[in-house]
Amino acid sequence: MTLGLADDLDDLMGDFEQEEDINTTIVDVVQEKESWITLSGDYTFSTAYNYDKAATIEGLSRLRNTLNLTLDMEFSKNWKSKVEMKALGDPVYELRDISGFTETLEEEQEFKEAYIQGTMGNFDLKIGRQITVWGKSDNIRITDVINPLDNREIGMVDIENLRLPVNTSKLSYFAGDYAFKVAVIHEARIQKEAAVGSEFFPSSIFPPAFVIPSVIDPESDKDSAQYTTSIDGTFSGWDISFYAAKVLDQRWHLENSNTIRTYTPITMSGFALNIASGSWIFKTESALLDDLRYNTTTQEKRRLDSLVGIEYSGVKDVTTSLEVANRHIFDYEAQMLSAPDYVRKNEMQTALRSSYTFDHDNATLTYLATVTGYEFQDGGFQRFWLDYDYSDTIKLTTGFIDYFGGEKPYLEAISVNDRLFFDFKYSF
Amino acid sequence: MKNRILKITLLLSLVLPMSAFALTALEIAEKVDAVDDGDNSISTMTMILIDKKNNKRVRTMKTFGKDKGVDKLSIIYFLKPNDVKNTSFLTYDYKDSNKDDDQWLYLPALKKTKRIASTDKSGSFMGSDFSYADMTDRDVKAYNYKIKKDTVVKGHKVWILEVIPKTQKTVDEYGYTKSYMFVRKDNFMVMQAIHFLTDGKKKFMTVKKMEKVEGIWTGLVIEMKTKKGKRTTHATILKISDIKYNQDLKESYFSVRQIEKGL
Repeated sequence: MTLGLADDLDDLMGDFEQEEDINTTIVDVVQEKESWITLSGDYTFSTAYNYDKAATIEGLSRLRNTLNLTLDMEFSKNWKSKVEMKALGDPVYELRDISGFTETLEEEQEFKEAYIQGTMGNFDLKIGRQITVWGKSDNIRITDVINPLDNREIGMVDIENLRLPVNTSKLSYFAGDYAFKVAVIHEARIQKEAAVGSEFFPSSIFPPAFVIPSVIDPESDKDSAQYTTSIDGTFSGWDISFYAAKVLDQRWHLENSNTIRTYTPITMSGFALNIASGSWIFKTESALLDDLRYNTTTQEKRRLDSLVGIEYSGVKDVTTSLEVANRHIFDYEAQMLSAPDYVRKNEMQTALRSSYTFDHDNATLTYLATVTGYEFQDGGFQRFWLDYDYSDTIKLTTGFIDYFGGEKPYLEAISVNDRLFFDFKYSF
Repeated sequence: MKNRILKITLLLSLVLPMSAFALTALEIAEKVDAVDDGDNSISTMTMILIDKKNNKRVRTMKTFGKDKGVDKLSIIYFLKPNDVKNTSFLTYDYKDSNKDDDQWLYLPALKKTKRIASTDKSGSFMGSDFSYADMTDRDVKAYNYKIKKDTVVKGHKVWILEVIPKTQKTVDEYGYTKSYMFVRKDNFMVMQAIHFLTDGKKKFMTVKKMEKVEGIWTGLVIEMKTKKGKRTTHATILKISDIKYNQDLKESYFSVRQIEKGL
């Protein structure tokens, strides 16, 4: 029985059976048998071209080959383990006869995360080399103080390689909407920094007579153990976390009459809060840091780091976030603005990120800018790139990064490192 | 838990009305919405994405779902392709359309769980022709219904309902200006649908395989084609396998703790 004229509907009904180029004949997908052990990984070829004539390395600056392997083992429903290995090699230093500051970016092999984790009722235990991320912000780290970072190429390090895992024993207890976590960090691991004199550690930022001493790694013994604790609450529409830690400050300072560089512990307490409303997320974080050491004063300092941010996802396929942070040093002394500290009483940092996904999630365009100073006067960088999934296994990335200088000597010195980059990644 | 995929448009009733012919369009829609689509479910979901050059991409996921009163809790673990392996997505889907859903995404590359806030559900789900709106419940009251046809399609007696959002807000959030739902009279399953998108394109949904699993009508193979005019620009085949209902899933399973731990 036809209840009314519906010519367009009749026409459309024919479209269900229309012959066409796309073949949707059912494709049988082979379901892989689940195994207790799996090996996966990726190979990445990454290249970069520095287009600034004043660049430390002008022209081709990267021909890096990186292999990541991950071994996942599931011993039972409640116990499993992961081991990640990474190896990289970059022949560009030899090909271009770049010497003196290549260090680990020329060749590197290391274990990344390697841990065992299990569940016993409301308790979780995770032991081994691992990454623990604190905080709600995406671009500026305020409470995320546990893991050291790979700072060898500021703004260029892949996010999955940015944080460096540390040997940790972590116990978590879950009760309703809350998670209580305590951890002991057994490894005094420090940041990876660029080699002195390299494009991301220019010696020109120090006075001419200043000799930059070697780093003395802190001991990883029982006396230097670090501790962390947190309480996370997850609720409808909002999340909150409280943190406290005694961890290594990942900024070096000079000791022994400026003959060595070393890292010492700090204490931290803080919180992070997320509130979601519609397509908006409002974020705030704060951390109070004590026992900070500087080079231009003998007095240990206290610093308050605070952040507010918003994220908006109300436009189809677009996500935009803006974060603003301030770092305030208490009992500031005027000479701290001098070399080698170069810090202000209040340091402001702003980060803007926007990404647009299209072509059925195959492509994502992202813009990220981070700039320091209340009037953006201290410098920063902007990066614009395209990620494109050529296939299920091959991903291509291309873009550019533009460093802009300012009143901060370090950011001014690296402002010549602008580059185009291209990555080919094969996952297996 | 109601089978989330079927909730795209594939809602059904197990009980035939005593006088089906007397039902109004709204009553049919309410019966479609009231269908028992199971609880405490576990399934494997495979999506085959096909572009206009017939290139195929495969996404595989493991899904867990549970009803919490009228609300729905779900976790999706991404298994394939490898670059998204171990990514997982936790959703508290609230029946009350005035309350925002809670969503968290665990990103293994960042080792971080990120809260997601978006009332815009018109975006593509995992790059497929299904949108996030297609994967969640819709509020029956947010639409006007009209019986457009009473006919037979592929051997099944169906009503074809015209479904039009009452407000621009619903259009903006779900991305459809109008839909035609082909509702089977014998089980109140939607076996086909045509969705009109805000950009002028249309999406054609067809349930290719529908079976009773543990007494619950379940769409096992669903095709969604996006068309511009008469030309298909992209298509997705969604296959549900290993589906089990009434599993021992605790409410506490649907937590940030669980998505961070993984499967």
